[in-house]
Amino acid sequence: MKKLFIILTVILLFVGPGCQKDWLERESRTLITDDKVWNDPSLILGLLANYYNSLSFDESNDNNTNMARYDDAMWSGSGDGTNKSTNFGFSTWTLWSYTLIRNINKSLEELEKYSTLSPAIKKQFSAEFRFIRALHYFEHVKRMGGVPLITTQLIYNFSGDVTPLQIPRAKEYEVYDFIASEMDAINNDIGNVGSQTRANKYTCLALKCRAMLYAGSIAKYNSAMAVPIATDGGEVGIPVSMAAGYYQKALAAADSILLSGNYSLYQKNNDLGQNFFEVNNVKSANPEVIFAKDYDYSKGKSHNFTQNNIPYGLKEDNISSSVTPVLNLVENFDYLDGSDGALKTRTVNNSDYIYYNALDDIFDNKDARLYGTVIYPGTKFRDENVVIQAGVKIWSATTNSYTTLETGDPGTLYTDGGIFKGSSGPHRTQANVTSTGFYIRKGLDPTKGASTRNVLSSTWWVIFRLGEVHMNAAEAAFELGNVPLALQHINKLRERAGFPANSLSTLTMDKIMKERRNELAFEDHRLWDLIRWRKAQELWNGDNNNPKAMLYALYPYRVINSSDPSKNGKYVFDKIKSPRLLYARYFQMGNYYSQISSTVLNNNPKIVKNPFHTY
Amino acid sequence: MSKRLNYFSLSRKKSDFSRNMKYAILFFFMSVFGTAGLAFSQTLTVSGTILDPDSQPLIGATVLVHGTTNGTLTNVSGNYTITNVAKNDSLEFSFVGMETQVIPVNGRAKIDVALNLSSKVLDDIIVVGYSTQSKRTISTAISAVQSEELTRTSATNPSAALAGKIQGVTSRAADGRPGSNTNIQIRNMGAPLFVIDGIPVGQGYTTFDNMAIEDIESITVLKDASAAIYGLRASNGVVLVTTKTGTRSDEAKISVNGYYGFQNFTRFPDVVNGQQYVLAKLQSIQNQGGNPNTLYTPDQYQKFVEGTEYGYKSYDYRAAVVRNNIPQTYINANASGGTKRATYYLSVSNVNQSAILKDYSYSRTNVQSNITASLVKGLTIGSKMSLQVADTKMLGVSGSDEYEAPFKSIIDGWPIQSFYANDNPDYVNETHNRAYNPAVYNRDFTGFEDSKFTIANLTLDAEYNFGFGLKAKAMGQYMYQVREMTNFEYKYKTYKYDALNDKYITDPNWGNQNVFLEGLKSFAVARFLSFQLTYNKKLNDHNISAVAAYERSDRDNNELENVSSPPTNYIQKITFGEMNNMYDTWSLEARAGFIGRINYDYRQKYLLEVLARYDGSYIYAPDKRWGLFPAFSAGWRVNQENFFKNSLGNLFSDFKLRFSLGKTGSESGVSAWDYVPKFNYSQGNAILDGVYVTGVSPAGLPITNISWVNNISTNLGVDIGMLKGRLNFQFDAFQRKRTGIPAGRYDILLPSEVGYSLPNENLNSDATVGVEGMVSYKGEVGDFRYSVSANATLSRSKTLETYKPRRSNSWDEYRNSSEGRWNSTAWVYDCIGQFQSVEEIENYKINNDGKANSTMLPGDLKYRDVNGDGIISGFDQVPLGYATGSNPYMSYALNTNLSYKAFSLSIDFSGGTMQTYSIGNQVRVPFYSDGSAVSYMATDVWHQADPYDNTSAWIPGTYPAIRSNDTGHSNYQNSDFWYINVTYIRLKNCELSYSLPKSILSKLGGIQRVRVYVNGSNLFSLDPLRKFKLDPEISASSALVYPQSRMINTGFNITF
Repeated sequence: MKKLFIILTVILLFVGPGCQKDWLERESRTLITDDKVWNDPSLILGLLANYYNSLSFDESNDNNTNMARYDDAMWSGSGDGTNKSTNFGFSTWTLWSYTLIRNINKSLEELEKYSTLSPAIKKQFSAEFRFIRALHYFEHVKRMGGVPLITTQLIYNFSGDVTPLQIPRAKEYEVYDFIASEMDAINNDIGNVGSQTRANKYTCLALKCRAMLYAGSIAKYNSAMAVPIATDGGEVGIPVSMAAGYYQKALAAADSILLSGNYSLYQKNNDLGQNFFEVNNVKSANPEVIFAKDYDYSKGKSHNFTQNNIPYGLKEDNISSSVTPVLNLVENFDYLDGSDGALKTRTVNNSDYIYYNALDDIFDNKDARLYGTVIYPGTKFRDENVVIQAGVKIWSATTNSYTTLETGDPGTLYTDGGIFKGSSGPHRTQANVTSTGFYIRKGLDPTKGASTRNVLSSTWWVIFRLGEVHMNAAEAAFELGNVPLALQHINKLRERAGFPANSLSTLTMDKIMKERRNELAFEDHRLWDLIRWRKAQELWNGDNNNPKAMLYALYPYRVINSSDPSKNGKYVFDKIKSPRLLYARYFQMGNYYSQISSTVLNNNPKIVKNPFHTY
Repeated sequence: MSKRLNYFSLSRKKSDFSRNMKYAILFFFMSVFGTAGLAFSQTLTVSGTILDPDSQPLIGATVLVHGTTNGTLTNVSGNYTITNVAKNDSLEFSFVGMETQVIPVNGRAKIDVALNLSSKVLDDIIVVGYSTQSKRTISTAISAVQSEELTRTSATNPSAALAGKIQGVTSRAADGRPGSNTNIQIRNMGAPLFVIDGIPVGQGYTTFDNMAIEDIESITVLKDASAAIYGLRASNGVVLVTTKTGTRSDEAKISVNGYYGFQNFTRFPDVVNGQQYVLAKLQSIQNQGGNPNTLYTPDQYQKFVEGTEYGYKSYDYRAAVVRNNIPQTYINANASGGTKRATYYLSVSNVNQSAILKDYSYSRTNVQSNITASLVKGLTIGSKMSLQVADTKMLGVSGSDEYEAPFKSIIDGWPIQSFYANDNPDYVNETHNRAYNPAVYNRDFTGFEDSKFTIANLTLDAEYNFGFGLKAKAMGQYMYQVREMTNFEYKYKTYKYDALNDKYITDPNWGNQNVFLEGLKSFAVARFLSFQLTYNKKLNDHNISAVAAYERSDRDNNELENVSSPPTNYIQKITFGEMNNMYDTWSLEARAGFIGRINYDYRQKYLLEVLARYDGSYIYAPDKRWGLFPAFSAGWRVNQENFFKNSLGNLFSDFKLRFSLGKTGSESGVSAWDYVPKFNYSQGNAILDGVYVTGVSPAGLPITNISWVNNISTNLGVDIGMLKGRLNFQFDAFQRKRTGIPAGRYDILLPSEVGYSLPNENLNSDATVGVEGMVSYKGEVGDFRYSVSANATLSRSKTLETYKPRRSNSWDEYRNSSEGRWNSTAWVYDCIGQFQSVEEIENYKINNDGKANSTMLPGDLKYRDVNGDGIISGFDQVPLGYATGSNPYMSYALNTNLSYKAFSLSIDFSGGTMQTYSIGNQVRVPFYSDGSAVSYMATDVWHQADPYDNTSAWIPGTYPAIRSNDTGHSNYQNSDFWYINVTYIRLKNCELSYSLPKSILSKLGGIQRVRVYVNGSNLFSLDPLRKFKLDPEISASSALVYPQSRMINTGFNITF
């Protein structure tokens, strides 16, 4: 009896915990099923957060390498980055990202179908989804030309027949028209007025304004090429006849934003250079920013732009100084008296250097936007000196010439006790020290700790701002023949940069291009502007002796000349080819429209390839 | 004679004491299990003496009434007394290593026995999964290794100890850092399933590698269809681990084992000194067409040659990082034994290994307790408890891997840069990359990364023996696993020396300016429950055994990681305000299976086995969850046939043919809940109107059409014993064919514009084929005993079919097709020599660098223009190598044991071939990533006699002329100049031991064994990587990895 009792106890001991209904049927703690999403506005907002976050741009604070890919800057970080590319691969800017399109189409349909939220809320969410989709299509069309316009979910029924899913490319202008009509359709439903991080009516207008300007200039300048780039089906190339219509729409969209009075140019700091820097960097009560991608370190969302680009002498972590502006950009900024921006390093007859008392004297009276964009020798960042000095030049009375010394670590002193090499370089080879003599300022976060790996930066990335709207309006007006209106817009921006009122009285396209480069440097415009103006292949022709395709550096030296006190201790400057850049920029005809991958072509036989591409 | 008696009377007290202690311990355990009542009924008492072949008394030999559990042990004089014996019973006499004898009592009261040495030592019965089986009746490819062979090592974990011991088990010790595992695989099929004491613990090496080697009784490896009994996770074979248990009616046995040893690196490359560094830099500028004067003038170079002035001195980074003769210690104590109704094995061990790098170490403590008790007749319950605590200490160096940083500093640090400013140890120098300055590698300076890994297991089991061959067993386990890690990187200042003013200057931006504190806690709970019935019956000449079982398990994994920046180095506490990031992850697994197996043999001549597992996994959709995995095997012991016995019986003691065929599964290409339509939470995020919003993202199409990969294993084997079992062969040919490897069905070309892709389906197939063999011989000449065993495995996989391959042209097919080809072939340029002169380059017809040879210099590598188009391009790459990261396709080992009287020598060689090592990055390109260079790559090079004179003569070397950090140069492309096919053999282990003879032991009273030894591991290796000073087993192509250590240790084993 006792034995039986013991045996039964032991059996119960094991069988007890063994009773559970279906061992393999488990609940997940981290997944949300379909039905839970559409009636919960906070989860729909989560979807929006994901979609906003998925938007990608060529130049941005979390993709700063591309800023060093063109003619405004080069790479001084570790590795060779873009310095050794002999040309741009045809897939450099390829984008064919339909996952986001599908997710948005699915969201639009399921929101309509499953949600029991009020019609107003549904309308507002729908409008916001459609804005993101349109912006995403814009990112496609400017790279690829016309792409298939897909606005509903394409559902495969597993029948083996995929032909109903094969959508051909739309004509290039159809995509631009789609963006315009979508913006017109949603801008009254979208709400969010006052928001700078969710799209509102003016964000829609800003997108429409930019897209229409692009479409107009492609219509005009592509057609003006000796052999316009085009495909038979119009997937690439816009008829010249459409140009004026697009310019008018761009101008009208700009006017709607400007006349609304909701935005104004940022003019809060009397120091004009610092003011221009603050245009992109100040987040609170910034009247100029229309739409930006925001970051907040305290919530774990930050970016490493500042860590990557802080001047070497100011770095707080192991990385620094990746994107370094080049002399080409610096000289694009004119002097405030209207004279050309080329820096004066030699006497007029080129017999000797010009001797400057301070490192920044050579930049005196420059367009204030230079200060706001570039850290140049003799200036500060974060209230700390950024010491940029390549070395010393020692005068030898016997040979009547200078000996240049610059080998050594940044931050070393010369035997005379003065600075030998600045704590921020420049250095010809060392990674993470500028090799051009400049550092980027625009977008750099002056907060202490922002360049450390743990903290990183919380500055936002501006996508649309009023300055661009002015530039767009100026260009559209100029193309439409309204030069006075164009001058009005441009001079307003020049005034903010320190120029006197009405500093320009005549206008050419070249001047507009110059102004646009100055105003919008490192804001993801330079490449796309040159592409739509069909200028890229002309400027960046791959010739190492072409000053527009090759990139240049400015190396400051301290003069040691015991025989001439008027020169001793002063500063002179050498303009040199950027030491780490091996090849001039080379943009080919096949770069105007990026290559469609063979996978995409194989998957859909109705997709035609772009011109100049082997597949 | 009287002297001897005297001695016994002296020692009696001592052994009484120890015996009392042992009884006290036993009593404790027995009372724990509530088994106080012991019943006896006298019938007959038998006593006698048991002697060994040398007529010495055998101490602790077992005497059992045959067929019962009634038994006793011999005492120190070899005497036994057993009560409760019926007149017609038989007595069974046994002792480890001796042949068991069964003698009928026939009413006698005194039986003396002399036991003979057994020819089949211990390996007679092996664990085969859900039961044990006599080796003779096994018809599948199963190998086992016993504890004695495993403990003969300085390895700290069982996988390293297992390497080279069994044919079919391949290994590569790619990383030798303390506490790292050796990547063992069965027949190169991938990570095997580990089953510890009957409980599958998964395909991770962690749990297995944290076991104490001493606690392992045996390891069995299921290599073929026999693994099918583990179903869905058994595709790569199964490793069964059994821990030690006490023996019933054994006297308490206590063992203490330990060693102390010294470690040094096997190999690590030398780096340049200051003068060599500067010269190579100057040559690089010259080679690249620049002016070396812009770097250093000849005067400056001369100062580097002299190397006396601060700023021009040379610093040995390697010596600053690598230490010599670093200790490793090991200690274990265990007690085992039993009574008539209970057994126990208790063990505590600790292994402590300091790394060759300062302030890095590994230490592990293991506790194992295995206890069984009979509650009532037929019912036995047991518990197994184990605790494994592993401590790893490292420095907190910024960078991806804490161990990599010191190695990187050796090759990355510029030898002309001092560790300390002005060599003053109070001021750490601000070097070009401060994370790679050896001066910071100090726990108090840079911080630490410490982790503690704890695994606690509790297993309870109960077994009921019905008495007619049927047994029922239940087993349950609860496993709790915790990993805690703290990574604390301190902030610190660095300095430069201002020689002019004799001052040390610093800058807020130098040094490490911010504190990084990361705390990680992960914990897992695994549960396991099984019920099992076994049945054994012998009916005349027919032997039948059967197993039926049900088991299920689950595992819940949680991990919480916090990252913060505290203000100082002193606060090792994460506060909410200073936190930068927090990660919370969770995952789950659940499995269940029904198991059945029947073994049948006829007079142990014809062997047949049929088994199946009906296995289910949580990972698949409900209607795809369960699968049947059957297997069968058959064997024929030809030597049992009369015709064979009559003709060859004298020559062959064993001749067995085996064949097996079975199916296993593997989970691949799918994750949990993929079959549900869903949204993923926490995918991206955005700050919208200043508020942080967690992103939600629609998942892709639900995956409902995929199932596990099916693996069909086939094995054909032969076992041969000759010369009365002295000479043994085992040979197997095998194939594992996998079908249903997930791949896309791409004849349904969904347009990319649909925005999703079709889920993978079970479409592709491949096969792993190979052969393995083992031969062993053991013999003795007088007192000299020896055994030699060699084994080898050749196993490689090839793709059979891919789903409807489409190739756009014949070159595409040649280059990219995998069908019918061996996997993991390396495609590289065929280097056909080096340019010998400038003239040769000028006259060279083939465009070797794609730039009309404008970048070519004497000494540069010439590649074969395979397609003859006059230009070297990707089209000229040819298959010249094997896989670079996996285990060698062929492995071999040679294990030798020699003993003479009390001395014993073991020598274990192991090696491999058909593996490729790619010399890469830091060891291929001089000054890679702006670092330094290994010396042969910077000194034994083609160069011009005078770096400042471009007209000076070229001087030949082994390696191409230096181009600093020019990774894109044609010289540094993948070619067979850098891809080395490695064939190696290394002396893995060599041990010389001395055991005190019994004559001395018997005077020590109670001490059964004293053995001392000297052991050396990784003493040398023959291989082609010797000239690069690289260990042949590493796989990291940059060589920035902890190589194997050479170790010499001295140790002891004492049993009493």
